[in-house]
Amino acid sequence: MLILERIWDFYVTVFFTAFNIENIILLFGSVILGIIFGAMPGLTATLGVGLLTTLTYGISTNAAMITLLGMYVGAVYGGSYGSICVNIPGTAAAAATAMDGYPLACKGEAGRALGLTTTSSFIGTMVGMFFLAVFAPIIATLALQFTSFEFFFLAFFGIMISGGLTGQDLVYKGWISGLIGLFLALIGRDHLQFFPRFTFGISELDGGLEVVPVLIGAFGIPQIIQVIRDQLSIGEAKKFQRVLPELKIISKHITTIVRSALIGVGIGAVPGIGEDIAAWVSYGAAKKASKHPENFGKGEYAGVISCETGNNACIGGAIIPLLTLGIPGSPPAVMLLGALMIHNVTPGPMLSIEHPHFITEMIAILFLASFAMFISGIFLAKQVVKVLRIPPPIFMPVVLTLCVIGSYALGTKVFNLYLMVPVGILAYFMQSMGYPIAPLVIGVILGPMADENLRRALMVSQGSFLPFFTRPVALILFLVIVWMFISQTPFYKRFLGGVKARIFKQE
Amino acid sequence: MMDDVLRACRMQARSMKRVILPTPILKLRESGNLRKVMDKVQLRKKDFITSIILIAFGIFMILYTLTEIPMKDSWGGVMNVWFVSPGLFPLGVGFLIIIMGIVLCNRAIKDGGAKKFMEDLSRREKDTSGKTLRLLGILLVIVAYVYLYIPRIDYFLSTMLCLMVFISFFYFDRPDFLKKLFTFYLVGCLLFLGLFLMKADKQLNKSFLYTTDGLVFLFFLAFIVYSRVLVHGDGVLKKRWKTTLIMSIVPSLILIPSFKYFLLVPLPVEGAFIELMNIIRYSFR
Repeated sequence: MLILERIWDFYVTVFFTAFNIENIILLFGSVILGIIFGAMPGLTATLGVGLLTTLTYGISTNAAMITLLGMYVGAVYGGSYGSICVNIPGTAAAAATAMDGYPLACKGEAGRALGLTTTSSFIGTMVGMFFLAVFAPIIATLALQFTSFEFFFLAFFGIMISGGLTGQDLVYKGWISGLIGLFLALIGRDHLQFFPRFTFGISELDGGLEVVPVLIGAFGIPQIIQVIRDQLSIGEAKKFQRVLPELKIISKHITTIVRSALIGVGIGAVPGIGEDIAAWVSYGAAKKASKHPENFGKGEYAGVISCETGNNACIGGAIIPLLTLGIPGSPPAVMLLGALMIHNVTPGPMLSIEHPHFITEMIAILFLASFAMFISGIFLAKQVVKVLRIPPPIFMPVVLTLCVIGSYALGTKVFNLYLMVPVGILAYFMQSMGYPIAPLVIGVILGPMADENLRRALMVSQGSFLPFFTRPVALILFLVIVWMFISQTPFYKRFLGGVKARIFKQE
Repeated sequence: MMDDVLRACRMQARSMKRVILPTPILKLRESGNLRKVMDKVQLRKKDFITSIILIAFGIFMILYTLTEIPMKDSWGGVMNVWFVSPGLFPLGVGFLIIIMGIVLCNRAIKDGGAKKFMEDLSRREKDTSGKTLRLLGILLVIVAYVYLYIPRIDYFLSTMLCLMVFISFFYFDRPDFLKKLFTFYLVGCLLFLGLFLMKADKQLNKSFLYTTDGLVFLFFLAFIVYSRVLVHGDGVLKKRWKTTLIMSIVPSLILIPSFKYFLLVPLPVEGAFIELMNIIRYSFR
């Protein structure tokens, strides 16, 4: 009954959204804007969703979600334009697409490559949506059984795993980034006793750091500085004729699509791990499974299909923990969380009780956004490629002004800007030293959750740590966290090396 | 037999940290690898500095928590116990930051980062790529826009000036022009900073309405003229100068009225230009 009710809800939402002219304009507008944003090198999906968040605070939650999901889907897909046409990925998620997309364009098959990315992105988003529809209610029901003990470890686990998987240089740099995020989350009055912490007498800090300016600063400012400082220059875009769905090629690569979609959803569901990792892992898996791995990097269709399916399937995956546990699965999902908070929607286990139709609405919007992306991709590709001609020194300053007015507009406080700039500069220097930024923002988001739940749990147990280890889910999360720490120690690595050597010897 | 030898070699290579390669292979790989090693040492040098900052910061967090946040005392009529204290979590975070700082420091020392840091203390490296100036240029534009102009000057004018300066710094793509424009803008900003610090702007605005807006507008015009003088005689740069001018005005004209009149956002400072916009807007109502 519940399932039938949900299916009915889904179709009703799709029908009412699709037959409302304002919603359709918003949907197509945001998807096209997202594609343009994604196509332009230096502008990311995260930044796009963040900037658009600031424009949506005056509209209804439903319209805001249409706009933001449209932007998210469009921007993740749009990254492939730069990869294929100029060999510069529009977003990090499309970096893997350039490996085979650009060689295809050099062979005169840019239109075909774009057709493949459009169709596989569409399929990827649909698969992600399917998993969101199936797993979100199950996880939400399970999460209702969680108590403060589990939520403390869950928040900590989110920061740890995000730091561990995004650290490019050293794993613990990701953790350090997460800890700095936790510190930023501590600033302001604590939520249980309202005691001011690290405010240094500045009254504007009493309410804590506002999430959206911090997010815009952390993702926007480093991007602006990096693109301008490193003098990113864009070459002449490869020409192409028409973009077609390329169903024949797609049907030949159905195994690659299924595999990549599953990888995308799985990686998306892991906190803080974004579309870029989903694309690379999908690409690697496709290459490994291929009968002709030597063709990868020379214009192999499977290469393009795998990464585009993977990164778009990641969207649905990233929304699963966001809606059910309040833990964002990817950096753009962090921005979505900020937007939901502005609209007084608190994601987490209580979401399905406080807003019973919300998850279904999100699924329906994702469904429509993937169609809008497919239609826009097929018909507007040629026009969108023209934006690649705009040099970064012209559009990056405009992005700066958007970041500034966006951060200011949310609370109409100049203090938000005073926060945004140092956070942005800190994020830039951290990034240049190999510290990932995603764990930092995850730390800012999950900090209050970890703090409150730790103290609530100890209050319940009257100061005893024993329940942390007697409750099964809490114990599993604790063991995983401990294992993540230990796996980075030289002792563990030596031990693992010894075991491997012994196994090889026996062989 | 051959397979066994190969497998043994592979295993040995895996277990050894440093594999001594034959000279020809070394020669082949030298250039790329050397650069990587150099970059890594440079990174570890930065890690060494960061680790010290992290340890110091962690100690500060713990000291702040222990001295400023009640662990067991009464606060606001509530008697605290250690496990509900607002200081519990900061204490844990501070402790973890210190541990991570020590781990990072250890790694930096092992990889030669500390040694490099000590070596570089005595000599100063000069940046030949011009990236430092580019970075300083970006930071100057952002900091001046947010901390100097937005809180005091008409928002439209501040945005226009920021766009003009930012685009002309980098769109001309000439390091010598960047240096000159940077100096020009820096001097202007310092003059305005002096004016604002002495609170002379308030006195001037009291005597004559929008005086500071007028002064900044004059600075904006001076910047336009100076950049035009710089590009004089170069056809391509002249075209770029025109684009810069258009791009400093058009986005401001779209963005600011959209926020002010459609999203109804009151802007930080609504000075002479926004007043003018109001007059135009309400005369058409």
